[in-house]
Order: sequence, then structure tokens, then C-alpha cells
Amino acid sequence: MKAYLFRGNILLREFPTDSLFDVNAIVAHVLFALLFNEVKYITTLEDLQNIENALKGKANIAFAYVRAIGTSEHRAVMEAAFVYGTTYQFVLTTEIAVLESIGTEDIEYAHLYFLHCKPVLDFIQQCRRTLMEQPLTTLNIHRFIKTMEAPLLTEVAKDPQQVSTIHLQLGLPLVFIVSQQVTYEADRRTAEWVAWRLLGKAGVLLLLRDSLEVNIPQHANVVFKRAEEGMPVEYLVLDDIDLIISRVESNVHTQEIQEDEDDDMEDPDMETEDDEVAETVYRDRKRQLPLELTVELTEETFNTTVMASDSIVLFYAGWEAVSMAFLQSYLDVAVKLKGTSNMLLSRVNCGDWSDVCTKQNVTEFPFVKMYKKGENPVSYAGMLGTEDLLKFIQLNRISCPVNITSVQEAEEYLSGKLFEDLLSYSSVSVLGIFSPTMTRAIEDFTEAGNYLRGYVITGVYSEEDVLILSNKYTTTIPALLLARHKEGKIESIPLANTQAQDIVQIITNALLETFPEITVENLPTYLRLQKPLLILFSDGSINHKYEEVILTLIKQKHLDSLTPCWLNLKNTPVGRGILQAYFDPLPPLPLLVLVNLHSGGQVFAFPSDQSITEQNLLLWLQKLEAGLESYIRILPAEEWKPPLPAYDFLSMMDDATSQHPIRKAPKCMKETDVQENDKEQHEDKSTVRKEPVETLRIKHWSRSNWFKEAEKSFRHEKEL
Amino acid sequence: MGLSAAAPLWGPPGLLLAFALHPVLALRPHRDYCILGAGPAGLQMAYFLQRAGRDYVVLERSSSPGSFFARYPRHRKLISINKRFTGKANAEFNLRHDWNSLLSHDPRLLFRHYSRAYFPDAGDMVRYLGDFAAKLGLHILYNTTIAHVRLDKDGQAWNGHYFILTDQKGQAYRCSVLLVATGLSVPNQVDFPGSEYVEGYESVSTDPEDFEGQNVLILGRGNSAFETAENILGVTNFIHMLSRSRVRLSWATHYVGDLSSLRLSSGGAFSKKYPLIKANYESKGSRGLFVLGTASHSVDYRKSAGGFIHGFRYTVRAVHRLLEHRHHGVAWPSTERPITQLTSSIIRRVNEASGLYQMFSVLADVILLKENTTTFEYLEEFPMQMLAQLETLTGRKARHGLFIINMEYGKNYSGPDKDVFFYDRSVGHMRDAWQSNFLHPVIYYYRHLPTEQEVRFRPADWLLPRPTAIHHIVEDFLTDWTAPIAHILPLRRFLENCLDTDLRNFYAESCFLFTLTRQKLPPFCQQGYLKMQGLVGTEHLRRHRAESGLLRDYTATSQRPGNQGPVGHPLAPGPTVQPLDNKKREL
Repeated sequence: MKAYLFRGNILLREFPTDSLFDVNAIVAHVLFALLFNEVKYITTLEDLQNIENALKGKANIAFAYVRAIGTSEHRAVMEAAFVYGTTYQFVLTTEIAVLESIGTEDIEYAHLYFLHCKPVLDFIQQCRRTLMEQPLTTLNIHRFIKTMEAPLLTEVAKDPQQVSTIHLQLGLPLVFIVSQQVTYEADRRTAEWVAWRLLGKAGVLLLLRDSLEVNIPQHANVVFKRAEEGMPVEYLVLDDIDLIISRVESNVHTQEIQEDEDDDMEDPDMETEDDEVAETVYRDRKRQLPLELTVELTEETFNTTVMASDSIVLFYAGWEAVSMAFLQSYLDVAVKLKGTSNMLLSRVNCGDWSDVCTKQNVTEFPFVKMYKKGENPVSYAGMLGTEDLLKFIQLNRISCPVNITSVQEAEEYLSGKLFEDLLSYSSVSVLGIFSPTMTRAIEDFTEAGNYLRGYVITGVYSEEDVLILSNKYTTTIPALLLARHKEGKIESIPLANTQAQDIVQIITNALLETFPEITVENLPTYLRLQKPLLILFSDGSINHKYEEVILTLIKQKHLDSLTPCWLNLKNTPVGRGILQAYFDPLPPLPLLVLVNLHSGGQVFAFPSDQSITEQNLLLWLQKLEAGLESYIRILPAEEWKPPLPAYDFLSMMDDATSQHPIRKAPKCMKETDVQENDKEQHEDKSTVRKEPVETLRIKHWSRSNWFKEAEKSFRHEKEL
Repeated sequence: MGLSAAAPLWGPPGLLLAFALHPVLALRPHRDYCILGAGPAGLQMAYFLQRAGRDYVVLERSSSPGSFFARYPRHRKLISINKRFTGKANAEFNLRHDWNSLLSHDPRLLFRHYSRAYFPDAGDMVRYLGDFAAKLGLHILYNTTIAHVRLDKDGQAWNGHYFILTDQKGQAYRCSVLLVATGLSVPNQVDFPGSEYVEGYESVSTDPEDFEGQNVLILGRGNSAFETAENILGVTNFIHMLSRSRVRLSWATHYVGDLSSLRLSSGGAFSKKYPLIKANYESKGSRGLFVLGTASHSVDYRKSAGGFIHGFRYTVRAVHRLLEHRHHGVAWPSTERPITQLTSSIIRRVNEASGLYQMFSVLADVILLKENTTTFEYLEEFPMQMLAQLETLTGRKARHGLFIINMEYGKNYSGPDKDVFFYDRSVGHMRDAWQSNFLHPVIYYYRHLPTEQEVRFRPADWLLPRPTAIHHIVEDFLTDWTAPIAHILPLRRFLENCLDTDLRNFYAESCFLFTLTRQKLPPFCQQGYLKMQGLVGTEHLRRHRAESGLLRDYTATSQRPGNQGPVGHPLAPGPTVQPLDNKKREL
């Protein structure tokens, strides 16, 4: 098998197919054949010297060594020759000896030298050589040649901040040598010497201080300007020229490292896990979990088990990350309950016992259900964590609402003595009091209590002597008595034809504190109020002084339109992340912040130079309301888009069917671009088809086009 | 089953489609559904109708179910595998390796309880079908041979006409829907000089001694031919086997109708052998007449398993679901789930679903996206060639885009004469997944439901019209598609890019941070954390998270002023990703 290259109907070359081993080889070989005149292939040092001599005073030379024909480096050189072949003489060798004889070390890699022959007027004089230090890629060669084309030294009399040259656009720094009229000649010589040393690494300019309009620091003799936008220029006092060089080189170095890091950060691999749950579960996969603390149920044992004893069942799937993460919390619950609970903790792996899960109506993972004798199974709807599930299980030990049979028992219930061991799970006990005839109201309350089972303790009292209670707590029946155990307070809320749903609402609202410590777990509860949050960030426990200030304002009803709360950075360390998003730099704690989450996303900060007193705070809030305070941040309103593209198999398949060479690089898919991609594909195909007949024209078109593309992709790279 | 050799079960050939116009007989009990034949397909349909509480009857010529297996295969060994142990407990998955059981809710009615043999005896199949009919109490009229079928036009009828069936005693039955599950009843007669000496498979002796010392010519190289040859191999002088095509081994073509290790088959002129039916198994000629079981194999002939028990048990279920909607207003069963469950719903199905696996490229799962893509509906095992009519056939709406989950072999993979063990045949890397050769999941995304036109004029060798985007999950020899990086991650990226959203899972702590630092939340936080169902995680996992760098460990960071860098950066939505520039790699 052979491949043939035609120009029009003239056979240019034939290739054995084994030389066209990949895309690089094909491109390199074809260009090598087409650019026969532009690229001279040499095998000895003599050849090189002959070419050098012939071009002295006429043109510069790009001389490349590649290890073999058809490699990606060879392709890069040929592509550069395709663009620059008419401007520079390209010389290519695969002989190590040639390279050795011009004194190169480390010949393992491909090399490219730029030979400055054009300025050489004296025949015996050697052409200066500049070695390209980056790896041979099309883009690097392009960048390198561009810097070779740029003037070696430029004189400027402008503010360095305003100066821009090709170097900056190519991502290279600028070095200004500050010159005075008196020392101009010496300065210029120094600058030229520096310029040669930094050729290809930085742009060098001579800054004429005397004709400068702006002031620069008096002793500064070197100005350094980085390529990154927005970086301030640096004014330096350097005594040694080598310091300038090393500064640039170390800068290039660090810049490269940074770029690498940036790449990792901003353009992570599509094949790298960026789902924190999946990643952490995967990292933890080798740890042995104490699965034996829970009973694994199967198709055979499921029904008999949940019928025989009160059971909690976790439905999970081995390959589903969230359920595997939650399984660990579930096992923690099992550890905590070990030997103390008669609730059986069991689990069903839906990957094994699919039918069991389907029969229990489980289509989502993870899923927790509680099965109690003689009752319908209850689905757990709380946080997927140890604490909340434990609370759910513990509170479900008693029926909900619990039936209270005497006034004395009711008092014990309200004082917290009746269910002392449950108080840590429910800081509020609710008692519904009714006369025995209020069947409807009792039903509604029972329904509400049932709904809240596992989240709050409820009880019901409906004996004849109920008036003793209603009188004591000065209310009329039917009513709710709310015992807040922490504060030792009991309040009453009268009910009048209140539906179950509304009772649930009343109770859940009653659970909210007036000035809570906000945590990861309870934030959503407070967000439901749909009010702006007034958060006091505190490093550790809240200062009583501040607490009192805010509690006073709450009492005076100044904070009714807000949700006042505080955040303990010791308990909720992620709060630091929030502060970093709000402040830069971070002022000392405590910080008082108002976040308008539900409309607009503005963040206002209470001035940190003022002390938190009732007066100051009130004044600040009034100014806020009047629109006189300006926000410090607006929270970004970005949508959550796909973090990375996907493989675009559709266009890979298209490529394969349209006889494109199969591309090694994976294609990426972005939904919105699919159609545009389609179009581009078609254009692609048509140009490919035309190529054999219109090689020349294509070549011209491509030259300029390639150039633009290279520029564009280069710029793109920089933006990243 | 799998043996579809011609056998006259129902009397004169071609009877069923020749509707004679006989005068109406006096008493005609009405049935909504009449099933012809109490073979596996008929029993399977009867089961679904019974469970749905429908008015149906099965009419069977002989005195017990599965009479085909009482006679065939002649040498009594079934070629359908009975793999009793798969190493897995998942009952749905195990049906992938159980080619003989019918679908039911009763795990005792699995074929593995009836035979221990890998290639079981046909007698066990007869016993199994008998039990299936009896234990489930299916309504079957035995010893009822239907001699005539005709159409009786009636505007009141479900399909504009009734099917009037007349049995051998002259008893007539009026049916709204006729489900034909009679198998194939016409032997393929060959006509050539000397054909008078041909002994048909249906009547050939199974006693090897009858062939002692003879030269035997066997026409055909299918499963029946090899079955016969194997039986008499030891006693004959020569056996010649003759056929039009080369031997196709089923492991080379992945088609059960081809020889499974030198057994079984159905050659024969295809067009004469199978009736003309649509992709919903309804006759092209008469509305309301459906062909089930072996005879329905024309829909997927030589591609999938629709001609065999392990295939048609699923197509029968699909037909039943279509009927439930057409005549009883019961929409195709589906579950609605939050979008955060999308990836895992697909992963679950491709790993365990047996219908997708057995009837690959015929039945496919459909995911219908709901408004704002916060939820989706999941429909299982829909006949994919009917995709354009999905809304009218299922009663479900596909207004906001849809996914199709199908199983496919590679386009270049199998076929007669191809070496399936060719070098480099397996694809290892997920970015080459589209070149996978073995059966693997393929997910199509359509922004709009394709039209009938688009389905009909789809590109050659495409099963469906060109989708908006497509995803292949890389092949896996154990058909285990649960690897986090190789299978789940690329699937998530595909789904994210189709839906233009972020489908990652987050711990409650991350959601907390996002809630207070951004105006919008990713779906997982919206549907979990904000509804007070956030994922808390344990200390171990928290440590791994800090190590992975996916969320900064704020417990460790002491307050460093001027410590900039965006918060939780790697998790935050980045700048919109640019597709790779196509031209960048080219000149």
C-alpha cells in the first residue's frame, strides 16, 4: 500500500504507508514534500555553514534538529515553515553530529535555533544564535519567531504603565532600563547587552527619564512590567546586570509553574472526579466499615424481619455515592444505639435486591423507612446525617402524640421529667389540651402530631379536668402548650378551628429561636422565613454584650423584617469561607453582616470601626432602610452550568464516517454549541475534499488563517 | 425456547390471515381479549391481562399448555440456557441469564426450579408451562381449535371491528382484540428433483438405529440440522450437510437463532415465514390484531431475541402496556423523580434491566424531562421504533426533551464471517467508548420528540434519527457499568451538557457555603439541602474532602488576612467552557 501526493495532476511524491503512522507523520510528510524549497534538509555541519554564508546580510535562519521525520516536533517545524518559510530560511537535520558540532548539550530533545544572519555584514563574522528553550510545538515556535522579529531594543519616553509591545501580548515581561541623558551611551550599551541575553524571554526597552512626563522613583534604574494584566509595574534598584537576567528568568520560571497550576485549577481533566461526594467515598473505599452492626435484609428476609420487629431500613446502592456516604452516618447511628434501642437497624442493597426496593416504592437513593408493627411505614425526610437520624429514631420511641392521662402527668410532661432522656433531641414539648368532646380538634392535632413524629415531641390531654391546665396557663381550650425546656418557659397558643396543616405550621414556627446560632443543619429552616439574614460572625461563643444588644432590638421589634442570627466560627468553620467571599481583606471579628439572599443578593457590612451598640446598630439599620448604605458585595447570580464539557461522540462518529483521520484528542461537547459544531463540520469536510485540486490556493488561505488561529488560540491560552 | 422449526400446530396453513365471511352463528360469548395459543407467549400475555383484571380468554388447540414442547425439539434438548447461578442476587439481573422463565410476580415460577440442566429437557418446559397456567389460574379453553377467523365491522368496537372466531364445534367467540401467539405453523417445503425422498424435521425418526450404515444428506445447517446430525453421527456412513449460507455460530453473531455451539436454527425464506407486523406488534392489515411470541420475530429478525422466550416475554409486556393505554386509559407506567437522581436511575437500569439487555435495540428505556428539568419521568422498555408516536401510545408528554437508553453492539462487531475475536476488539478507554464492540449502553438525547418522518428517513445503520447528542458507556465484559470514573463520571458530564446544568452531589457544608455566597444553588443543594435533606457526611469523609482539595478545610486555615482566591473555587461554577477549537489541530 502506498499513498500518493498530487499537485493538480502532477504526482509529487509517493509515500509508503508505514511512514504515515499517525496524524503528525501525515502532516509532516505532506508539508515536507510541498515545502521542498523552503526547508533545506542537511546532514553535515558544512551544509549548515554554506547556507549561513550564503544568507549573511540577506536573511535569518531557523535551524531545527528533530530526532526523526514524522514526529510531532517535525510537524511543528514544518507548520512553522509553512507560515514563515518565505521570510526565513528553514534548515532541518536529524543528525546529532551537526548539533554537537555547534556546541549543544543535552541533545536528547529536539532543538530550534534562530541564526541572526541578516545583520551580519562581515563575511568572517559568525551569525549570532538564539536557542529556543521551550519544547517544539507550533505555538511555541510561533511565539519564539515573533520575538525574534521584534526590535531588539526600543527607546521609549512614556509611562511604563502605558507601554505595550508584542512581548506583552505574547505573555513575556518587559524590562525597562532607565537612562539619563548624561549616561545615555553607556546605558544603551548595557541595554543592548541585556537585550541579547533576554532575547526570546523578555522585551527590553530604554526608558528616557529626562523626557518622561510622569515621575518614577528617583533611584530606580530598572522597571519591571509583568505580562499579566492589572499587575503593577515594579521599580527596582539593581546593581548588577545579572540580577536583571535572573529576575526575568526566575519570573518566567514561576510564571510557568503558575500557569501549570492554573491549568490544573481552571481546566481540570474531564476524567478527574469533581464531585466531592463521589471522590470522598472513593477515597474511603478501602476502609472496613462496621457493617455487622446493621442487619442486611434480602428478598427472603425482608418481610419477615420488618413484620417481626420495629425496624429502620436504609435502602442504598453500592455504586451510588450519596447513599454510600450516608451509609457511614447510618453505621454511626448504629454504634451510638448499640444495645440501647429495640429499634432494629437494617439495610437493603438495592443493587442486589432490586425487587425488594421496587416493591417498597423506593426509586431514589438513599432512602430510609421506618416499619412499626400495625402502622404504615414512615419515610424519613430529615437531614442525611447521624444527628438527625438518631433524633428521629429516639423520638419515635414514644407514640406521637403521646396520650397523657392525668393533670399530674401533664405537668411532668411539660416540665420535661416524663421524657427526660429525650430532651436532648427535642428542646420543645408540645401539649394539645382539649375537652373530651372536641373530637374534631383532637383529630386534627393528632394528625399534626403524627406528621411531626420524629422531629418534635407532642402529647395530647383531653380529660374532663382539662380546665385545671387551661386556667393555670391562662388560655381557653382548645390550645397548645409549648414547653421550652432550655429556657424553662411554657407558652400557650389558643387553637380555633385550626387545620392539621396549620397546627404543623404553628409548631414548626414555635421551634424557631429568636436569635439562633446559625449552623449548616439549621440554616434551611430559617431561610424559609424569606427574610434578609442579619448575621453576627463570632470567633467562638458570642459576646454577651452583643447578644444583649440584639435581643433588646428584637424585643423592641426593630428587627422584625430580618432574621437575626449569629455564627460561631468554631462550630461552623466553613463560615470563614463565607467571610472571605464578603471581605477582602478580612477585618477583625466580630463582624455584623446583612445578607439579602432572597432579593438582589446584596451584602452590607456594619462598619467595623463602630462598636456594636443599640444606637449604632439602629442607626445603621435605618440608613440601610433609607438606602443610604452601600453594599460591599453583590452575590454572584450565575447559573450552575456543567462544570466541564463531555465527550462529543457524535462528531467523533461523523469524523470517522467522513474519512477524517481519527483524532487522538477527545472532542468535547457543549450542548449549546452542538449545532454550530455541525456547521463547522460541514465546512471542514468541504475543504478537505477540495484540497487535492486546490492545494495552492488553500495554502495561501491557510497561511493567513493559520496565523489568525494561532494568534487566537494563543490569546485564549493567556486568558485562561 | 428458540426452536422455531416449522410444525403444523394450527391446521391448514395461512388460516389466520384468511378471514372467511361466514354467517353469524347464534351464540357468541364476548371477550375483550382473545389469545390464540397457550404456548409461552400466550401464557405470558394471559398473565398480564389477568393481573390488570381484564376480560380475556386463551384458546388452545390441545389439552395442555406448551404442546409445541411436547413434540419439539425432536431430540428433547432445549437450546435455551438455564443458568441457575450467576453469582448475583438481583432477580432482575438474573433474568439476563435465564432464557426459559416467563415473567410473573411469583419467584417460585422461575424455570430454575424446574430443571438443573444447562440445556434443559423439553419435558421440563412442558411441566413448567403447565404449572404457570395452573398456579396463576389463567383462563384457558383447551381442546379448542379455531377453524375460522373473520372481521365483523362495528362502529362500537374498539378497533372498528370485532374478530369472530369459530372453533371446530362451530362455537363462535367475539373478541375486541385478537392476540395471536401460535408460533410458526407452516413447514418450509423444498421443491427439487428428489424432494420426494425428503423426511421433514417434524417427522424424522429420533432413533439413531434407523440410520445405521446409511448415507444421509441434511438440508440446512441450522440448529435443527445439527441437532439431527449429532444424534445419528455415530451410526451413519456419511453425513452431508447442505445449505445456502455458511455456518453461523451464535457466539459469533450474538443471535440465538444461529447455532449455539453447533445446535439449532431456522433457515428459510423469511418473508414467507413471518407475518407482516408493525413495530408495536400489530398487524399491518387489521387493527387490533397483534402477533406475539415466535411469530413476532420479524420485528427484530436476526438482531435480537424477540423470537424466543427470553425476548418475547418483554415484547409481550410492551404490547400489554400499549393496550392498557389504548383501551383503558392507563398511561404507560412511569415514575417521576428529581433530576438529581438522573445519573443513578440510568446506571441502575443498564446494570440490571433484563428487558433492555435481551431485547437490545428493540425495547429501550425513555426518560421524559419535565419543565425546567427539575424532575423527569422514567418509562421502561418502550418499542423504540415507535418513538415518534410515543405521546399517543403511552399517554405521557415529551415536551421538554428526552433521553433514550438502549443497549447496542458496535456497528462493526458481529455478523456471519466476522472474527469476533479480532485483535484490538475491545475498547478500554472511556473516550473511545463510541467504538465499543460488545453490548453496551447508548444514550440518545433529543431536544424534541423525533417525528415519524425523521424516524423513517434516519441515516443508514442508525437505529434512531440523528440525536442532538449521544453517549456511549464503554463496554465491559462483565456488563458491570458501575465504575465511578470510567462509567458514571462521563455519563454525568454528558447529562450535564445536555441539560446545561451542574449535576454534582454536594455535602451540606458546601451547600451552606453556596447558599450564603451565591444567589443560585446547584440542583442537588436545591432539592436536598434547602428541603432540609442535606447530606451531612462523617468525619472520615470530611477528612478525605479536605485532602482531595475539593473544598477547603476551614478548620485548618487560621485567619490569614489578604488570603485571596475565590472561595471553594474548584466547586464553583467556572467560566463557560469553550469547546475545543476544531481548527486548532489542523492547518
